Amino acid sequence: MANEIVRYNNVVIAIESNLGTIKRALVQSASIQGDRGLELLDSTTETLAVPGPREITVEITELATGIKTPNNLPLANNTGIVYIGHPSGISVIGCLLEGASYSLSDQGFFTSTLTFKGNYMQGQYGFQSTTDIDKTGRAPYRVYFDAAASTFSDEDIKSIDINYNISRSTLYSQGNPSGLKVLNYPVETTIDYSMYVALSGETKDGDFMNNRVPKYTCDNTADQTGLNIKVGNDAITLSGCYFKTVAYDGAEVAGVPLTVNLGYASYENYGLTRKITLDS
Amino acid sequence: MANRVYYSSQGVAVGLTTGTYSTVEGGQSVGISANFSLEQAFQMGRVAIYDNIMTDGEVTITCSKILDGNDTIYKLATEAAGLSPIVNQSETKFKVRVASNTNEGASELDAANQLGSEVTGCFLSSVAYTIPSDGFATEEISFVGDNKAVGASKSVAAPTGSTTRATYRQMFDQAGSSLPIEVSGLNVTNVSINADFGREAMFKLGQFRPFHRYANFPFEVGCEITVSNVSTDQSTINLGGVTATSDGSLPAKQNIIIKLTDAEGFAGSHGYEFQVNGARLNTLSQDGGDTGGGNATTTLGYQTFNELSISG
Repeated sequence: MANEIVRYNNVVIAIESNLGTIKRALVQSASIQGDRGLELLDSTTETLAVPGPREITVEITELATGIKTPNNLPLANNTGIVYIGHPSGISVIGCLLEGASYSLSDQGFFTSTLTFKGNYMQGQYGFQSTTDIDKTGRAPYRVYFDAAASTFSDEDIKSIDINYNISRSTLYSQGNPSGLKVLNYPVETTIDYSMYVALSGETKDGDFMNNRVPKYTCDNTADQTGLNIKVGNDAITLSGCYFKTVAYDGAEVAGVPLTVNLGYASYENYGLTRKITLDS
Repeated sequence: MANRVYYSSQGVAVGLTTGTYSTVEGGQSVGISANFSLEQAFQMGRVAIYDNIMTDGEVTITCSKILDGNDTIYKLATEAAGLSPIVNQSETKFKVRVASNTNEGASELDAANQLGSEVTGCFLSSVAYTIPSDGFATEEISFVGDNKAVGASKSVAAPTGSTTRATYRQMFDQAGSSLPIEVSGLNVTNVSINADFGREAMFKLGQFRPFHRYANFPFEVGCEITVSNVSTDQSTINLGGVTATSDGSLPAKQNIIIKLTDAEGFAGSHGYEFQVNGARLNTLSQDGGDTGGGNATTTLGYQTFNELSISG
């Protein structure tokens, strides 16, 4: 029987990489999901279950005091270990960043979610971290967004969602049980804006809102743009963004205001390492 | 510095953001409240709170006055002439001052010796009118705003103490009003009319202050009329007979007009008119007539949306 139920204050998440073992601050939730990849071998007398390619997925959601591109996120280019629990817990080994997202909303806190995939896990008692997390500070919310330094600075932006889809395939070779992680191209980044629609553009062509919606035609294939987003002290530029989707919602008789959702996609690869050898 | 604030030492003034202040005549009460919404941040690995942010703040002022033949608070604030639909004021911004004398013994508001509060960036939040058979007819209005400033400069001029008269039951103009057919000819003992704009703050990334507080259209307008029963309630309710083209015997939509006459013979006094259009019977309840000794009454509640106009 356990002596104590584990709750949020008992759990620390740390990432061991070439930068050391660093505790993650402002973690709101974390999850681990493991799959041994069992394969069944049938013979005339019995069925054998044989471990196949393993995959352990760790997902960490944190308050986002800043914003980064994938190459500046942990374990983007090197494998490492994700520790969960303190002092006893679990270490997931051979982890690589395989997805990240930011949710910047006018309601609630700014959050980011990092997804790592490792190839094995084990129990671990204690770990030595080179950092500690702040006891108090300011939690990030809408005032952390620097509208003046960001694209669409003259619009009323309700929310921005950024999703880095980093997909990797595991390749195996004869004599090597652990295999390789190979980056799948393209790396797609989606950026979705939700903005309040104002009538400020009445005298302009095309739209309610200062003609923000780009020309939406089949022959307009070259309209790439860079999107600047600044949160706290972090500013990023997502270059080569294609305008992809537009949707108007709201202003129905139930009373909510009209919003427009603009979806962009970028296929920059951020210089992510293409091939990484996994730990055995 | 005064030791206390009481009715004669404090007053309220309202106005358009771009206009001048007008002191509320016949003011009965005023309250200012500030509410801050908080959201807590915790983090894994520590039990203590990390942050407790303010996500929103608003200042609410609620004031009431007797309908005394002087302008309503609504009219003083909006400067709207004639019969004014309240939907026309959904985007209008106002300012409100509440001030009190620093000299407790003064017989009336002394603008030169006051400490006051000024709330700016206000929107109309709600309006309510009550016309009872026992007591004065009153108006209560709420504003919601962003900022409150204070100081000696936020003063309010004294009410004029005009010679008008407080509206009492005899000034309810039943003949001139257009009451719902269900209460026509009955002994009306109370009328209340209310509307709430249901203000919702709109936020955007990069700014704490809401950039707008929109009226949540459609908002409900209610009108309740209480009559003294001369029998058990005789309203017929028959759900049969309703077809695609007919409401059968169910009450139809009606335009309700409530008029209060001026206090005849009192200089400067004027009447009031309230129009609730497209109203439909929503509730009907008979109460009283029990062994406690009270008389039976029936209250009929009418509902419409957005359609309230005010004159006076």
